[in-house]
This record gives sequence, structure tokens and C-alpha cells, in this order.
Amino acid sequence: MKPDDYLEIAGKRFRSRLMLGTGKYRSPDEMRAALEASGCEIVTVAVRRIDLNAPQRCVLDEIDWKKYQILPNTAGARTAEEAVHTARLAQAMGLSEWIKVEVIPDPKYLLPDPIGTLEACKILVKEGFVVLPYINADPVLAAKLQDIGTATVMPLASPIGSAQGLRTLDGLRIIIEQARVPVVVDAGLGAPSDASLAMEIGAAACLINTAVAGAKDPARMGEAMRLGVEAGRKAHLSGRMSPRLYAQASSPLEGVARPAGKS
Amino acid sequence: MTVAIPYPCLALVTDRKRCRLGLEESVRAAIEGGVDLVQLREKDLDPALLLTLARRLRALTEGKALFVFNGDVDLALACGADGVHFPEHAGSIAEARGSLGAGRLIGRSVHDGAAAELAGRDGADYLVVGTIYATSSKPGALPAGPDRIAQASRATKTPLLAIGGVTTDKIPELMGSGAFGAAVCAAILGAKDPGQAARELKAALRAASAARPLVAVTVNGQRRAVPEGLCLQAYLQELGLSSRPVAVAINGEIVSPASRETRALRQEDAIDIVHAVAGG
Repeated sequence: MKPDDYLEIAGKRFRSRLMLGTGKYRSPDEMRAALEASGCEIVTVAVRRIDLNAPQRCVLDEIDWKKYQILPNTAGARTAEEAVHTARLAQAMGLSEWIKVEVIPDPKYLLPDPIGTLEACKILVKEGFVVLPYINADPVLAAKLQDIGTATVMPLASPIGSAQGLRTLDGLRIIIEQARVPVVVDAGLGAPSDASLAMEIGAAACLINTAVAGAKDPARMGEAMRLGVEAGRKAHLSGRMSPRLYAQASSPLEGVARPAGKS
Repeated sequence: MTVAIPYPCLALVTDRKRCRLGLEESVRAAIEGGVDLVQLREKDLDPALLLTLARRLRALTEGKALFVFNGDVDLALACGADGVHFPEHAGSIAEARGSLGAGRLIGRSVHDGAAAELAGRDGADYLVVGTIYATSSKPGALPAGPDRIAQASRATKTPLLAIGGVTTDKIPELMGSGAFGAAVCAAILGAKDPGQAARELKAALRAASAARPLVAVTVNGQRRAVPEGLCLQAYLQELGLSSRPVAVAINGEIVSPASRETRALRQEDAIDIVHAVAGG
């Protein structure tokens, strides 16, 4: 990676273009190892009620959170109002002004509500949050969000946790073409090839959770995702050639020595 | 929580065989006298009759007192009860919570600190602690005395109702030991005037609670009694959370860390304490 190729969000620079979720790891050790191997600098956390009857460790006890930009999410919010409330709670924890806005009315498909997301983002941008909205790969919505001042847009590749890869490729291409803020492809990336493709088409970063946490060896998958993101980024910066319909030989066509009698 | 136990709480556990008057008549009078919660406990009735009785008591208590059904979640739901009450060794609180949701009460009877701690951890909304004094309801039970309340209140923060031979004169020492209220049966149902008996018990509870002023709040969906005037910061300290990365909302309003010292907890505050958990 060129030394000057930083991901910049809200004035902060990051070397890594891979963000990782902290959910669904089988153990804190596995999570730490995966975060470490992935080289990520931004990690997402959720906000939930403390269980008053159980020991009160939280996810931040498991990682060295001074090393990471903490990105709380509003997961669980079904409406704009709930998302705004969760965002304010996250801010009151004193860890981060950043917020990943998720407004998801339905637990089966887990698809984000575009109207609720836009409403919540308007309020949170006004309140000074660094807002990273999770959206469907809708170019019109992405453009409206960046217009109101979100720090990124985070379109999904395919449904959350599905590992189906880039099902929204065409929408993502348009979002990237129109973007003035970093486009973070979030949700549904299943393998390093998915992450690489997202980066090849010009995404600024990828956010991955399930594909890493759900691998048999999360640390190794974390590293693989890092390499996939880096490969895709380098490919994007290198200016790849366009595909052609017909073959074009890589070796000279002239000067071939053939058996006697042939020409 | 849509239903909450008031502080102080006077609970009536039914036993139609101990009624001087009819059960429904007695319950109606007891509610008029100030009973806050009625627990239908008629173990020997067959389910069909029990459900009929439960529906009548539900209608009678509606809007006036909480109504919980003994032992059976399905029947509790069928009669529209506010919740279910389990004996110490039967019924899973987790399963009941799954069926009843956060909006209904789950109570459990316990007989020592360990059981109180466990039931509190499982998420019971209130615990009935006995057998405190000698009682004709349980002739064989060895009375444990108010120390058992003190022991249970050290083991859990869940509201405790003292049961077993509770009479008006015993209320001060029970409340002084950390009880949230009292549960009675014969003291009301066996009285010549159940309404008057309830009134006297309730007056004693009110007097004792005034001597130890608490406010009842709901914290992360669980019922808690906290000293009147306690500020949020002191309460967080008590929970061991004052220097942890937590955020607090009271009645839906976020309380900034700077105002934790000045925000006193008030009766019926709904407090949410959140922290960061693993998530994507």
C-alpha cells in the first residue's frame, strides 16, 4: 500500500480499510486474535442493557479499545426515534462520537428502512455525531445522505450475516461513482474474494463481522479478509484494464519457428 | 414493565378453605382495604373450575390490584392475570418470561438466601420469603424469624415480601429487616372483617415504610427499592458501575454523566443502564 493511501473519515486517518464487527465470536480470545490478524482499526459494538444479575464485563473489557476507533451501532432500533435514542446513549457512554445508524424494522430480512434511516441521520448530523448510515445499495438514498452530511455511506452487499457476497454490485457501482464520502461496503461479504471485488470497484472500505466470526479459524479468516481488501484496493489504484470479448495473445505472434513445410 | 409492584406492598394469598366469608367477597373487601396484589392459590381445584374462579378474581381485581396466578403460565395468560407465581422448586422463570414477556410479573417463593439470590438472578420480579413466623397455614414449618428477610435482602436486590404468620405488630421489624412488603392469608381471609384487617396491615406497612423511606423504581426492567433522595451517581456506585463506561436513561431521557450527581431517583422512575456489547 502506498504510504499516503489513507482511509479518511471525519478528519481521522486510518491505514486499514477493513472494519470488523465484534459480534458472534465463540470466545473473547478468538475475537482478539481475529481483530489483531485483520489489522483493523475500526470496530463496531452494540449498546444493550446491563444484566444486573450477572457479572458486568462488557465487550470493551475484552479488547484494548484505546487501539481502536469504537463505532457503536444502533442495532435493535426499529424506528428513527429508537436509533436516535440509542445513538445518544452510545455518546453518553463517553467512548465515541461516531455512530453506525441502523434502522431495521423487520428481524427476518434485516433490511434497513431508508426513510427512518434518513430521518435519524438528519437529527444526529445536527447534533454533531459522526454518522455512518447502514443502507440498502440505493444510489438516490446514498446521495441524499451525503448531502445532509453523513461521514460515509454503508451500503449492503447482501443481507446481514448471509455471506452471499456482492448481490448489489450494480447499485454499489453507481453509489461509488456518485460518492463524495467514503463508501463502506457492509454486510453479506462472505469471502476475501467478495471483499476484494468491492474494493476493486472502488469502495473505500469493507465492514465484516459474520464471515470472520463464523469461520472455523477466525484469526486466519481475519488475515485473509485483510489481504482481500488490500489486494482489491491495490487493483483499484493500479487502474485495471477493461475486459475484452476476444483473446489477445500475451506472446509475439511473429517469429514462430515451425516444422518444415508449414508456414 | 407495564405492571409494577408498589412499595410498600400488601399481598393476599388465597385459600378459600380459610375464608370466613366467601372467597370473592373476602377478596373484594381486602382490595377495598388496601391489598395491592392477589395471588390465586387453590391447589386442589380442578383446572376448569380454577380458570372460572381466576377469571372472576381477575375481573374483581382489574384496575384495583395486581392479580397473579399460582404455578401455571398458560392459565395465567388464559385468565388475563398480571403474572404468575412459582413455588421454590417448580417452574422455570426463563421459560415463563419467554411466554409472559417483560410486561408481566413473575414471583417465586424462597426459603433462604441462596434460593433468593438464584431467583433474583433468573429475573424474578418479586420474591415471597418464608416461613417467618409460626402459621396455621403451614403447621409443620419451623419459623425462621425476620433474620431470614435480612439474609435474603443481602443476597438479592429483588423486592421481598415476608410471609408466614405476619400480623400488624410484626410489620415494623419485617420492614426494618429489608422487606418490600408482606404477604398474608389467614390474617385477612380468616378475619371477621377482611376489609378492616387489610386496612390495618396496610396502615402498618405505610407507617413502617415512612420510617424507612424508599422509592420504588424499575431498573433495566427489574423492580428495585432505593432510599428516597438517592442520586443516580450514588446508585451507580452501589451497583459498582460509577466508573464503568455505561450510559443511563431515566424515563427515556438520557442523563449526562455531569448531571448524575444532581439527579435524585424518584418514585416510579424507569431507569435504563446500558453498556457496550459485542455487535456488528
